[in-house]
Amino acid sequence: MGDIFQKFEHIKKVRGHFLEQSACNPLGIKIDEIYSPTQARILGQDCIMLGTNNYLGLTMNDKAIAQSVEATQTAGTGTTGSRVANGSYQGHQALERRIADYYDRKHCILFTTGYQANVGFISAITGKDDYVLIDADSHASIYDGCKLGDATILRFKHNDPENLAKKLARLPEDANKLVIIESVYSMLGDIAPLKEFAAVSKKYGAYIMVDEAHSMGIFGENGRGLCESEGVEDQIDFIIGTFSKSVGTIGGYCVSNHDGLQDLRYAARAYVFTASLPPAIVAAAHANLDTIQNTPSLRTQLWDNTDRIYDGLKAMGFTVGPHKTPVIGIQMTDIESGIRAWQILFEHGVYVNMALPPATPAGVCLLRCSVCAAHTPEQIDTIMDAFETVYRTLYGTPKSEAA
Amino acid sequence: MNRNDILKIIYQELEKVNADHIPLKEQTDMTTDLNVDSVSVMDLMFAIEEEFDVAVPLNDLADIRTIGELADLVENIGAA
Repeated sequence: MGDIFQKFEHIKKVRGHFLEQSACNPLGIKIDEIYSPTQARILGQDCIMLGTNNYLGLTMNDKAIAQSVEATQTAGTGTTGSRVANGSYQGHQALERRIADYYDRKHCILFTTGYQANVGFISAITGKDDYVLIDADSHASIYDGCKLGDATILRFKHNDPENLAKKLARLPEDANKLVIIESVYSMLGDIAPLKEFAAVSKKYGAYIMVDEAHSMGIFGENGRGLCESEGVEDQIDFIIGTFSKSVGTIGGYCVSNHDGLQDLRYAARAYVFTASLPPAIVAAAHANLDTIQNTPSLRTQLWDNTDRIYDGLKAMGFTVGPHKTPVIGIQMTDIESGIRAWQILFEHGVYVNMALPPATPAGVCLLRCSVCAAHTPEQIDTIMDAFETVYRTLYGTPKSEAA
Repeated sequence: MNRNDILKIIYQELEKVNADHIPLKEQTDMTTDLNVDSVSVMDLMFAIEEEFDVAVPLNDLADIRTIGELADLVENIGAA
Protein backbone atom coordinates (compact mmCIF):
# COMPACT_ATOMS: atom_id res chain seq x y z
CA MET A 1 0.00 0.00 0.00
CA GLY A 2 1.35 3.45 -0.92
CA ASP A 3 0.88 6.62 1.10
CA ILE A 4 -2.32 8.19 -0.11
CA PHE A 5 -1.46 11.38 1.76
CA GLN A 6 1.89 11.84 0.00
CA LYS A 7 0.32 14.41 -2.32
CA PHE A 8 -0.15 16.83 0.58
CA GLU A 9 3.55 16.90 1.49
CA HIS A 10 4.16 20.21 -0.26
CA ILE A 11 1.19 21.88 1.46
CA LYS A 12 2.40 20.49 4.79
CA LYS A 13 5.83 21.95 4.16
CA VAL A 14 4.35 25.41 3.60
CA ARG A 15 2.14 25.06 6.69
CA GLY A 16 5.13 23.94 8.74
CA HIS A 17 6.97 27.02 7.56
CA PHE A 18 4.21 29.17 9.03
CA LEU A 19 4.24 27.36 12.36
CA GLU A 20 8.01 27.74 12.63
CA GLN A 21 7.69 31.48 12.27
CA SER A 22 4.75 31.98 14.53
CA ALA A 23 3.06 30.22 17.41
CA CYS A 24 -0.13 31.54 15.91
CA ASN A 25 -0.70 30.23 12.39
CA PRO A 26 -2.37 32.86 10.16
CA LEU A 27 -3.86 30.08 8.03
CA GLY A 28 -5.37 28.18 10.96
CA ILE A 29 -6.99 30.87 13.10
CA LYS A 30 -9.62 29.77 15.57
CA ILE A 31 -12.01 32.40 16.83
CA ASP A 32 -12.90 32.08 20.53
CA GLU A 33 -15.87 34.42 20.49
CA ILE A 34 -17.60 36.86 18.16
CA TYR A 35 -18.73 40.08 19.87
CA SER A 36 -20.04 42.07 16.92
CA PRO A 37 -19.63 42.26 13.13
CA THR A 38 -16.29 44.02 13.73
CA GLN A 39 -15.02 42.55 17.01
CA ALA A 40 -13.93 39.11 18.16
CA ARG A 41 -11.62 37.36 20.62
CA ILE A 42 -8.95 35.32 18.88
CA LEU A 43 -6.48 33.21 20.89
CA GLY A 44 -7.47 35.13 24.00
CA GLN A 45 -6.98 38.52 22.40
CA ASP A 46 -9.63 41.08 21.48
CA CYS A 47 -9.36 41.99 17.79
CA ILE A 48 -10.94 44.34 15.29
CA MET A 49 -12.06 42.18 12.39
CA LEU A 50 -10.63 43.59 9.15
CA GLY A 51 -10.69 40.26 7.37
CA THR A 52 -14.30 39.21 6.85
CA ASN A 53 -16.64 39.59 3.92
CA ASN A 54 -19.19 41.23 6.19
CA TYR A 55 -19.23 44.44 4.13
CA LEU A 56 -22.43 45.92 5.53
CA GLY A 57 -22.09 44.47 9.04
CA LEU A 58 -25.43 42.69 8.77
CA THR A 59 -24.49 39.41 10.48
CA MET A 60 -26.05 40.69 13.68
CA ASN A 61 -28.94 42.68 12.22
CA ASP A 62 -31.71 42.58 14.88
CA LYS A 63 -34.49 42.21 12.33
CA ALA A 64 -32.75 39.28 10.59
CA ILE A 65 -32.05 37.54 13.91
CA ALA A 66 -35.66 37.93 15.07
CA GLN A 67 -37.10 36.62 11.81
CA SER A 68 -34.62 33.81 11.71
CA VAL A 69 -35.56 32.70 15.25
CA GLU A 70 -39.24 32.90 14.36
CA ALA A 71 -38.68 30.82 11.20
CA THR A 72 -36.89 28.15 13.21
CA GLN A 73 -39.70 28.04 15.74
CA THR A 74 -42.36 27.67 13.07
CA ALA A 75 -40.59 25.58 10.39
CA GLY A 76 -37.75 23.84 12.24
CA THR A 77 -33.97 23.76 12.07
CA GLY A 78 -33.62 22.17 8.62
CA THR A 79 -35.53 20.98 5.59
CA THR A 80 -33.78 17.58 5.37
CA GLY A 81 -34.46 17.51 1.66
CA SER A 82 -33.69 18.82 -1.80
CA ARG A 83 -35.72 21.52 -3.51
CA VAL A 84 -36.95 18.88 -5.96
CA ALA A 85 -38.15 16.61 -3.15
CA ASN A 86 -39.41 17.73 0.28
CA GLY A 87 -37.20 20.82 0.65
CA SER A 88 -39.11 23.50 -1.23
CA TYR A 89 -40.92 25.55 1.42
CA GLN A 90 -43.01 28.66 0.97
CA GLY A 91 -40.04 30.68 2.32
CA HIS A 92 -37.73 29.50 -0.50
CA GLN A 93 -40.29 30.39 -3.13
CA ALA A 94 -40.98 33.81 -1.58
CA LEU A 95 -37.24 34.54 -1.38
CA GLU A 96 -36.75 33.60 -5.04
CA ARG A 97 -39.59 35.96 -6.00
CA ARG A 98 -38.11 38.67 -3.77
CA ILE A 99 -34.68 38.39 -5.41
CA ALA A 100 -36.12 38.26 -8.95
CA ASP A 101 -38.13 41.42 -8.21
CA TYR A 102 -35.09 43.10 -6.64
CA TYR A 103 -33.13 42.56 -9.86
CA ASP A 104 -36.19 43.18 -12.05
CA ARG A 105 -35.63 39.79 -13.70
CA LYS A 106 -38.14 37.09 -14.55
CA HIS A 107 -36.39 34.22 -12.81
CA CYS A 108 -34.33 33.42 -9.75
CA ILE A 109 -33.03 30.07 -8.57
CA LEU A 110 -31.62 29.60 -5.06
CA PHE A 111 -28.66 27.41 -4.21
CA THR A 112 -27.48 26.29 -0.79
CA THR A 113 -24.16 28.17 -1.04
CA GLY A 114 -22.55 30.65 -3.41
CA TYR A 115 -20.01 27.98 -4.30
CA GLN A 116 -22.82 25.65 -5.32
CA ALA A 117 -24.48 28.41 -7.35
CA ASN A 118 -21.40 28.67 -9.56
CA VAL A 119 -20.68 24.96 -9.69
CA GLY A 120 -24.34 24.03 -10.26
CA PHE A 121 -25.10 26.70 -12.83
CA ILE A 122 -21.91 26.46 -14.91
CA SER A 123 -21.70 22.66 -15.01
CA ALA A 124 -25.36 22.27 -15.94
CA ILE A 125 -25.83 25.00 -18.52
CA THR A 126 -22.82 24.12 -20.66
CA GLY A 127 -22.83 21.00 -22.79
CA LYS A 128 -20.40 19.01 -24.87
CA ASP A 129 -20.43 21.23 -27.97
CA ASP A 130 -20.43 24.50 -26.02
CA TYR A 131 -17.56 26.81 -25.15
CA VAL A 132 -16.96 28.53 -21.82
CA LEU A 133 -14.56 31.46 -21.65
CA ILE A 134 -13.40 32.36 -18.16
CA ASP A 135 -11.29 35.18 -16.74
CA ALA A 136 -7.86 33.93 -15.61
CA ASP A 137 -8.41 35.17 -12.04
CA SER A 138 -11.77 33.43 -11.61
CA HIS A 139 -12.77 32.05 -8.22
CA ALA A 140 -12.23 28.34 -7.54
CA SER A 141 -15.99 27.72 -7.73
CA ILE A 142 -15.96 28.87 -11.38
CA TYR A 143 -13.03 26.59 -12.21
CA ASP A 144 -14.75 23.72 -10.43
CA GLY A 145 -18.01 24.33 -12.28
CA CYS A 146 -16.07 24.17 -15.55
CA LYS A 147 -14.32 20.96 -14.50
CA LEU A 148 -17.61 19.27 -13.71
CA GLY A 149 -19.17 20.22 -17.04
CA ASP A 150 -18.56 18.85 -20.54
CA ALA A 151 -17.84 22.06 -22.43
CA THR A 152 -14.53 23.22 -23.90
CA ILE A 153 -12.98 25.69 -21.47
CA LEU A 154 -10.85 28.61 -22.62
CA ARG A 155 -9.14 31.02 -20.26
CA PHE A 156 -8.55 34.66 -21.18
CA LYS A 157 -6.18 37.17 -19.58
CA HIS A 158 -7.50 38.83 -16.45
CA ASN A 159 -9.71 41.86 -17.12
CA ASP A 160 -8.66 41.86 -20.79
CA PRO A 161 -11.63 42.19 -23.18
CA GLU A 162 -9.26 42.26 -26.16
CA ASN A 163 -7.80 38.87 -25.26
CA LEU A 164 -11.37 37.56 -24.84
CA ALA A 165 -12.29 38.90 -28.30
CA LYS A 166 -9.28 37.12 -29.81
CA LYS A 167 -10.40 33.81 -28.31
CA LEU A 168 -14.07 34.29 -29.28
CA ALA A 169 -13.08 35.10 -32.86
CA ARG A 170 -11.60 31.60 -33.27
CA LEU A 171 -14.78 29.77 -32.27
CA PRO A 172 -17.51 28.46 -34.60
CA GLU A 173 -20.11 31.16 -35.16
CA ASP A 174 -23.09 28.90 -34.44
CA ALA A 175 -21.68 27.35 -31.24
CA ASN A 176 -23.04 28.29 -27.80
CA LYS A 177 -20.54 30.44 -25.97
CA LEU A 178 -20.66 31.55 -22.34
CA VAL A 179 -18.34 34.28 -21.03
CA ILE A 180 -17.79 34.25 -17.27
CA ILE A 181 -16.41 37.17 -15.29
CA GLU A 182 -16.59 38.54 -11.76
CA SER A 183 -17.41 42.20 -11.15
CA VAL A 184 -15.01 42.70 -8.21
CA TYR A 185 -12.20 40.19 -7.67
CA SER A 186 -11.93 38.86 -4.15
CA MET A 187 -8.18 39.12 -3.64
CA LEU A 188 -7.07 42.49 -5.01
CA GLY A 189 -10.50 44.11 -5.10
CA ASP A 190 -10.00 45.07 -8.73
CA ILE A 191 -12.98 45.86 -10.93
CA ALA A 192 -13.85 44.30 -14.29
CA PRO A 193 -14.45 46.54 -17.32
CA LEU A 194 -18.07 45.38 -17.57
CA LYS A 195 -19.13 47.58 -20.49
CA GLU A 196 -16.26 46.37 -22.65
CA PHE A 197 -16.83 42.71 -21.74
CA ALA A 198 -20.56 43.04 -22.44
CA ALA A 199 -19.85 44.66 -25.83
CA VAL A 200 -17.34 41.96 -26.86
CA SER A 201 -19.73 39.18 -25.78
CA LYS A 202 -22.54 40.73 -27.78
CA LYS A 203 -20.35 41.19 -30.86
CA TYR A 204 -19.51 37.48 -30.95
CA GLY A 205 -22.99 36.27 -29.97
CA ALA A 206 -21.88 34.92 -26.57
CA TYR A 207 -23.95 34.72 -23.40
CA ILE A 208 -22.38 36.52 -20.44
CA MET A 209 -22.51 35.66 -16.75
CA VAL A 210 -21.30 38.02 -14.01
CA ASP A 211 -20.53 36.88 -10.47
CA GLU A 212 -21.40 39.79 -8.17
CA ALA A 213 -20.27 38.10 -4.92
CA HIS A 214 -18.07 41.01 -3.82
CA SER A 215 -20.11 43.88 -5.27
CA MET A 216 -23.71 43.13 -4.32
CA GLY A 217 -24.76 45.45 -1.49
CA ILE A 218 -21.79 47.70 -2.24
CA PHE A 219 -22.40 49.22 -5.69
CA GLY A 220 -25.53 50.67 -7.28
CA GLU A 221 -28.36 52.84 -6.02
CA ASN A 222 -30.27 49.77 -4.85
CA GLY A 223 -27.15 47.81 -3.94
CA ARG A 224 -27.61 45.30 -6.76
CA GLY A 225 -23.94 45.51 -7.67
CA LEU A 226 -21.53 46.75 -10.30
CA CYS A 227 -23.84 45.86 -13.21
CA GLU A 228 -26.37 48.30 -11.72
CA SER A 229 -23.87 51.12 -11.09
CA GLU A 230 -22.31 50.66 -14.56
CA GLY A 231 -25.74 50.63 -16.22
CA VAL A 232 -25.16 47.32 -18.03
CA GLU A 233 -27.76 45.09 -16.34
CA ASP A 234 -29.82 44.72 -19.53
CA GLN A 235 -26.77 43.33 -21.37
CA ILE A 236 -25.97 40.62 -18.81
CA ASP A 237 -27.67 37.23 -19.30
CA PHE A 238 -27.00 35.73 -15.88
CA ILE A 239 -26.06 37.25 -12.55
CA ILE A 240 -24.74 35.03 -9.77
CA GLY A 241 -24.88 36.24 -6.19
CA THR A 242 -24.18 35.04 -2.69
CA PHE A 243 -25.64 35.59 0.78
CA SER A 244 -22.29 35.01 2.49
CA LYS A 245 -20.89 38.50 1.99
CA SER A 246 -23.08 41.62 2.21
CA VAL A 247 -26.20 39.59 3.03
CA GLY A 248 -24.46 38.27 6.15
CA THR A 249 -25.58 34.64 6.06
CA ILE A 250 -25.06 31.77 3.60
CA GLY A 251 -26.59 30.77 0.26
CA GLY A 252 -26.35 31.57 -3.44
CA TYR A 253 -28.55 32.45 -6.37
CA CYS A 254 -28.74 33.05 -10.09
CA VAL A 255 -31.09 35.56 -11.74
CA SER A 256 -31.95 35.84 -15.42
CA ASN A 257 -34.62 36.80 -17.91
CA HIS A 258 -34.03 33.58 -19.87
CA ASP A 259 -36.96 31.20 -19.24
CA GLY A 260 -34.54 28.30 -19.58
CA LEU A 261 -33.10 29.10 -16.17
CA GLN A 262 -36.01 27.14 -14.66
CA ASP A 263 -34.75 23.96 -16.39
CA LEU A 264 -31.73 24.04 -14.11
CA ARG A 265 -33.96 22.90 -11.28
CA TYR A 266 -33.79 19.45 -12.87
CA ALA A 267 -30.35 19.62 -14.46
CA ALA A 268 -28.04 21.29 -11.92
CA ARG A 269 -26.71 18.51 -9.72
CA ALA A 270 -25.56 20.96 -7.02
CA TYR A 271 -29.23 22.03 -6.80
CA VAL A 272 -30.88 18.63 -7.03
CA PHE A 273 -28.60 16.51 -4.88
CA THR A 274 -28.29 18.65 -1.78
CA ALA A 275 -30.58 19.80 1.01
CA SER A 276 -32.17 23.22 0.60
CA LEU A 277 -31.39 26.19 2.84
CA PRO A 278 -32.75 25.93 6.40
CA PRO A 279 -35.75 28.19 7.23
CA ALA A 280 -33.63 30.36 9.56
CA ILE A 281 -31.21 31.21 6.76
CA VAL A 282 -33.98 31.91 4.26
CA ALA A 283 -35.62 34.30 6.74
CA ALA A 284 -32.32 36.05 7.58
CA ALA A 285 -31.47 36.51 3.89
CA HIS A 286 -34.94 37.91 3.22
CA ALA A 287 -34.68 40.41 6.09
CA ASN A 288 -31.15 41.51 5.18
CA LEU A 289 -32.06 41.96 1.51
CA ASP A 290 -34.79 44.37 2.63
CA THR A 291 -32.22 46.22 4.73
CA ILE A 292 -29.71 46.35 1.86
CA GLN A 293 -32.26 47.78 -0.54
CA ASN A 294 -33.84 50.22 1.90
CA THR A 295 -30.74 51.51 3.71
CA PRO A 296 -28.46 53.28 1.21
CA SER A 297 -26.75 54.98 4.18
CA LEU A 298 -24.99 51.64 4.87
CA ARG A 299 -23.31 51.93 1.47
CA THR A 300 -22.36 55.56 2.12
CA GLN A 301 -20.80 54.55 5.44
CA LEU A 302 -18.95 51.63 3.83
CA TRP A 303 -17.49 53.85 1.14
CA ASP A 304 -16.47 56.53 3.68
CA ASN A 305 -14.62 53.85 5.65
CA THR A 306 -13.09 52.48 2.45
CA ASP A 307 -11.83 55.96 1.53
CA ARG A 308 -10.06 56.30 4.87
CA ILE A 309 -8.44 52.86 4.87
CA TYR A 310 -7.53 52.50 1.16
CA ASP A 311 -6.29 56.09 0.82
CA GLY A 312 -4.41 55.90 4.13
CA LEU A 313 -2.61 52.64 3.26
CA LYS A 314 -1.72 53.92 -0.19
CA ALA A 315 -0.39 57.20 1.20
CA MET A 316 1.79 55.32 3.71
CA GLY A 317 3.41 53.49 0.82
CA PHE A 318 1.73 50.07 0.83
CA THR A 319 1.10 48.44 -2.53
CA VAL A 320 -2.67 48.04 -2.77
CA GLY A 321 -4.93 46.90 -5.62
CA PRO A 322 -5.52 49.18 -8.62
CA HIS A 323 -9.13 50.08 -7.75
CA LYS A 324 -10.58 51.47 -4.56
CA THR A 325 -13.14 48.98 -3.23
CA PRO A 326 -13.91 47.55 0.24
CA VAL A 327 -11.70 44.56 -0.71
CA ILE A 328 -8.16 45.80 -0.11
CA GLY A 329 -5.36 43.39 -0.99
CA ILE A 330 -1.99 44.61 0.28
CA GLN A 331 0.81 42.99 -1.73
CA MET A 332 3.76 41.92 0.39
CA THR A 333 7.20 41.43 -1.10
CA ASP A 334 7.48 37.83 0.16
CA ILE A 335 5.88 35.33 2.53
CA GLU A 336 8.27 36.21 5.39
CA SER A 337 7.37 39.91 5.37
CA GLY A 338 3.72 38.93 4.98
CA ILE A 339 3.85 36.79 8.12
CA ARG A 340 5.74 39.46 10.06
CA ALA A 341 3.19 42.10 9.04
CA TRP A 342 0.31 39.82 9.94
CA GLN A 343 1.82 39.20 13.39
CA ILE A 344 2.36 42.88 14.12
CA LEU A 345 -1.24 43.62 13.15
CA PHE A 346 -2.47 40.77 15.35
CA GLU A 347 -0.38 42.01 18.30
CA HIS A 348 -2.04 45.39 17.83
CA GLY A 349 -5.50 43.81 17.88
CA VAL A 350 -6.20 43.87 14.14
CA TYR A 351 -7.15 40.69 12.28
CA VAL A 352 -6.72 40.47 8.50
CA ASN A 353 -6.74 37.47 6.13
CA MET A 354 -3.47 36.17 4.85
CA ALA A 355 -3.66 34.83 1.31
CA LEU A 356 -1.04 32.85 -0.56
CA PRO A 357 -0.63 31.49 -4.10
CA PRO A 358 -2.32 29.77 -5.89
CA ALA A 359 -5.32 31.49 -4.28
CA THR A 360 -3.76 34.86 -5.16
CA PRO A 361 -3.03 36.31 -8.61
CA ALA A 362 0.54 36.51 -9.99
CA GLY A 363 1.99 34.44 -7.14
CA VAL A 364 1.90 37.25 -4.58
CA CYS A 365 1.46 37.05 -0.80
CA LEU A 366 -1.44 39.24 0.24
CA LEU A 367 -2.74 40.77 3.42
CA ARG A 368 -6.36 40.74 2.44
CA CYS A 369 -8.42 43.36 4.26
CA SER A 370 -12.13 43.88 3.93
CA VAL A 371 -13.83 47.04 5.09
CA CYS A 372 -17.13 46.98 6.98
CA ALA A 373 -19.77 49.71 7.17
CA ALA A 374 -19.84 49.04 10.93
CA HIS A 375 -16.17 49.92 11.50
CA THR A 376 -16.19 52.98 13.79
CA PRO A 377 -13.87 55.98 13.29
CA GLU A 378 -12.02 54.90 16.47
CA GLN A 379 -11.55 51.35 15.15
CA ILE A 380 -10.17 52.78 11.91
CA ASP A 381 -7.73 54.91 13.97
CA THR A 382 -6.49 51.71 15.64
CA ILE A 383 -6.26 49.94 12.27
CA MET A 384 -4.23 52.74 10.69
CA ASP A 385 -1.91 53.00 13.74
CA ALA A 386 -1.25 49.25 13.49
CA PHE A 387 -0.43 49.50 9.79
CA GLU A 388 1.87 52.42 10.47
CA THR A 389 3.82 50.23 12.92
CA VAL A 390 3.99 47.52 10.25
CA TYR A 391 5.35 49.98 7.71
CA ARG A 392 7.97 51.38 10.12
CA THR A 393 9.10 47.89 11.14
CA LEU A 394 9.39 46.52 7.62
CA TYR A 395 10.18 49.48 5.41
CA GLY A 396 11.05 52.58 7.50
CA THR A 397 9.38 56.00 7.51
CA PRO A 398 5.92 55.99 5.91
CA LYS A 399 5.83 57.94 2.64
CA SER A 400 2.99 60.12 3.95
CA GLU A 401 5.32 61.34 6.69
CA ALA A 402 8.38 61.72 4.47
CA ALA A 403 6.39 63.92 2.11
CA MET B 1 5.81 25.73 -35.53
CA ASN B 2 8.94 23.96 -34.39
CA ARG B 3 9.03 21.68 -31.35
CA ASN B 4 12.28 23.25 -30.16
CA ASP B 5 10.73 26.71 -30.32
CA ILE B 6 7.83 25.45 -28.20
CA LEU B 7 10.21 23.92 -25.66
CA LYS B 8 12.23 27.14 -25.56
CA ILE B 9 9.18 29.18 -24.55
CA ILE B 10 8.10 26.56 -21.98
CA TYR B 11 11.59 26.54 -20.37
CA GLN B 12 11.74 30.32 -20.45
CA GLU B 13 8.36 30.69 -18.72
CA LEU B 14 8.92 27.90 -16.19
CA GLU B 15 12.26 29.40 -15.14
CA LYS B 16 10.28 32.35 -13.76
CA VAL B 17 8.54 30.09 -11.22
CA ASN B 18 11.30 27.49 -10.75
CA ALA B 19 12.24 28.79 -7.31
CA ASP B 20 14.39 25.75 -6.40
CA HIS B 21 16.38 26.00 -9.69
CA ILE B 22 15.69 22.41 -10.67
CA PRO B 23 17.22 21.54 -14.08
CA LEU B 24 14.42 21.51 -16.68
CA LYS B 25 14.15 18.54 -19.05
CA GLU B 26 11.39 17.14 -21.24
CA GLN B 27 10.80 14.46 -18.59
CA THR B 28 10.42 17.00 -15.76
CA ASP B 29 7.02 16.63 -14.07
CA MET B 30 5.77 20.18 -13.57
CA THR B 31 3.75 19.53 -10.44
CA THR B 32 5.76 16.91 -8.56
CA ASP B 33 9.33 17.79 -9.61
CA LEU B 34 8.93 21.56 -9.73
CA ASN B 35 6.12 22.08 -7.23
CA VAL B 36 4.61 24.53 -9.71
CA ASP B 37 0.94 25.11 -8.92
CA SER B 38 -1.88 24.66 -11.43
CA VAL B 39 -2.32 28.41 -11.88
CA SER B 40 1.33 28.88 -12.90
CA VAL B 41 0.99 26.16 -15.54
CA MET B 42 -2.14 27.85 -16.90
CA ASP B 43 -0.40 31.23 -16.84
CA LEU B 44 2.53 30.03 -18.92
CA MET B 45 0.04 29.05 -21.62
CA PHE B 46 -0.64 32.74 -22.36
CA ALA B 47 2.95 33.19 -23.54
CA ILE B 48 2.73 30.03 -25.69
CA GLU B 49 -0.65 31.02 -27.13
CA GLU B 50 0.65 34.43 -28.09
CA GLU B 51 3.90 33.19 -29.59
CA PHE B 52 2.32 30.45 -31.70
CA ASP B 53 -1.16 31.92 -32.24
CA VAL B 54 -3.04 28.95 -30.81
CA ALA B 55 -5.76 28.52 -28.15
CA VAL B 56 -5.24 25.62 -25.76
CA PRO B 57 -8.39 24.50 -23.91
CA LEU B 58 -8.00 23.92 -20.15
CA ASN B 59 -9.59 20.49 -20.66
CA ASP B 60 -6.46 19.37 -22.53
CA LEU B 61 -4.12 20.65 -19.83
CA ALA B 62 -5.68 18.44 -17.16
CA ASP B 63 -3.74 15.32 -18.20
CA ILE B 64 -0.43 17.05 -18.84
CA ARG B 65 2.33 16.32 -16.34
CA THR B 66 5.70 16.70 -18.06
CA ILE B 67 7.26 19.48 -20.11
CA GLY B 68 7.53 17.07 -23.08
CA GLU B 69 3.80 16.26 -22.92
CA LEU B 70 3.00 19.96 -22.91
CA ALA B 71 5.17 20.51 -26.00
CA ASP B 72 3.39 17.60 -27.75
CA LEU B 73 0.00 19.10 -26.95
CA VAL B 74 0.90 22.54 -28.32
CA GLU B 75 2.47 20.98 -31.41
CA ASN B 76 -0.67 18.90 -32.08
CA ILE B 77 -3.03 21.82 -31.60
CA GLY B 78 -0.87 23.98 -33.89
CA ALA B 79 -0.87 21.31 -36.55
CA ALA B 80 -4.65 20.74 -36.40
